[in-house]
Amino acid sequence: MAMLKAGLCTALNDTVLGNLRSVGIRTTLDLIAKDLENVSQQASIPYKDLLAIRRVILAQYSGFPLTGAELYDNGVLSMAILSTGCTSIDELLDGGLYTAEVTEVAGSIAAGKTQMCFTSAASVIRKTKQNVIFVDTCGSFSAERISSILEENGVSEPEQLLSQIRCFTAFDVYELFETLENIRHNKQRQMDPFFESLKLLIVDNVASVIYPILGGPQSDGQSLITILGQKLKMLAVEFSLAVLVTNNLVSSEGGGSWSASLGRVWSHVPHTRLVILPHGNKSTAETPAMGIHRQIKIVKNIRAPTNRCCNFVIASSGLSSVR
Amino acid sequence: MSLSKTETGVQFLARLGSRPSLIHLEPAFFGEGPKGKEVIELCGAEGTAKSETMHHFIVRCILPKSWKSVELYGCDAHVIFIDTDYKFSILRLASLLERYILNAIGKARQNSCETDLQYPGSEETENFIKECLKKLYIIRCTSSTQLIITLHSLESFICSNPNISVIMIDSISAFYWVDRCNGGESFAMQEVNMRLACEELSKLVNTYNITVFATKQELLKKKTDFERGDREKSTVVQKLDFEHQEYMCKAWQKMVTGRLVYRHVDIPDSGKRKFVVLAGPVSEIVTFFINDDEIQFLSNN
Repeated sequence: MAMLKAGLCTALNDTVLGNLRSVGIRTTLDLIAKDLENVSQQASIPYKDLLAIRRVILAQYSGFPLTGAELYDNGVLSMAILSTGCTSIDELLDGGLYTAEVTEVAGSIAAGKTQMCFTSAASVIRKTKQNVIFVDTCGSFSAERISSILEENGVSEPEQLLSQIRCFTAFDVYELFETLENIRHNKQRQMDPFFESLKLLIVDNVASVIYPILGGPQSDGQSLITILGQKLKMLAVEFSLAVLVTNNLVSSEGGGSWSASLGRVWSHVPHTRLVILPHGNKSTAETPAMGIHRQIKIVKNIRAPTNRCCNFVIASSGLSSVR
Repeated sequence: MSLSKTETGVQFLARLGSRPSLIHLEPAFFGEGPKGKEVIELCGAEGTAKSETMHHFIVRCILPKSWKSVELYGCDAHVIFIDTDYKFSILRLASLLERYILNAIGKARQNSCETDLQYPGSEETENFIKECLKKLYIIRCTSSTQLIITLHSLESFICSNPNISVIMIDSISAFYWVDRCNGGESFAMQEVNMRLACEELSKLVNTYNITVFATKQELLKKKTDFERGDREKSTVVQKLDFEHQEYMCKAWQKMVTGRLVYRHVDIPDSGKRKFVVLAGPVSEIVTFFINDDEIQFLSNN
């Protein structure tokens, strides 16, 4: 909520501001919501001036309407689909990670969430000339692993490509906010060429910054989750980034089914949600040479049918589809 | 007579002039309606096709009645879409429009023996779609304060455009927890922003004869038997619980005239998802699938 400040427009000088304060109007919202005629009488400010101030506030602080046609033209230009590096998952996602969307992958411990992030990052820097930001909230980032994924995929000098990834650490939710604001700031300023070709933002893992705040008062935790969701979606939509976040799995009451953690409020945040299914049967041979087999299911998507599954294998070259 | 009761000539004309009607927008949900001044709330948990049906409503609103002598059953209305959730996808909407138009032409070709009805070229279709998209205004809001200021600024916008007959908000509950947290201990303070937004919205609705659609996420919900288990047998529609937990402020509750309650049922083995909606305006249970970008209603529920 913005405070009223002198100099916002010519009619709003220090005397007018003082008069407004005396009748209890301090913020822009106070002025907008009040009946201007009453304010004019109480604070003895000309009605015309108040109208002028109101008009400036409306113009400055309201959301700006764009027509669908304008948005469509921008959308077609900036839209991109980034490959996750695993063909079967790409097919499940109808091409890959879409820009302007938040994709969530949920899985239990050692399900392959981080490996999926690494493979996607490696695939983006290898196949496109785009940059990746990896926000690490639980100490999972490993440049060596990404480098070896690149090598396994036939890149001879992975060090050069690795400069296309930047890693930030954020071990609590406020640090994460700061990091995201930083990205926004750099995107807007357009000074650093790295941010200009930034296309993929990875947050691994959101649950580990959210869990500690859930213990406090209910509204605090829920509002921080809302704000985090908002910040991620705003970055995705405004700067046309693909956002990939990981989350944990929890079992619903009674066992039976598994769903992504963090509850109702967070459940509305991602556009697309993938769940790596807990591996029930260990009968398949899990030797490192064969890779580790996993099944992944799409449970939420706005474009394609949900509840489809595919298999993938975690091998030294990252995630790949099962032949 | 106080000054605030006076109005400018533009306001007067905007108030009296007729705006495009939304009659027969989606008979399965609304029957004859929705009429002007109705406020319809779409509520449901995540993934129950709320935003999806909103996209379909936009398609029906912004399409003209017919194009190239093909009936499209559109309303030819202008739409203001307030996106607080950052879930709106223009590309998705464009592809829905295209699909809808091509389907309508296909049906018209089947029904008429005339063979002169050709499918339009892709460029022609795209131009037509862009023409339709010009009737949609998208506003993104990032906080409840901005929502209030935006709603205030809409008055002059609605006055100057006599074709606007719908405001859609996806979603009205987006700032609920943030407001709760910022309001401190006092319950009135927690609700004050939403109350101001609702007051302004209700003024726009009643003065200018606008229809409102708003989605409401089910942020709080009573646990039901359906959720606790029994998933195997839960394909029976009667077992679904349409009771919903109200949590929005009184001002919003008073405004709402109709409610659609969304639930979904996963059909075992087929991997398909069935959507079940208790449509308040017609007080009926409506069941549909989403297939190939189309809402397919099941006639018998």
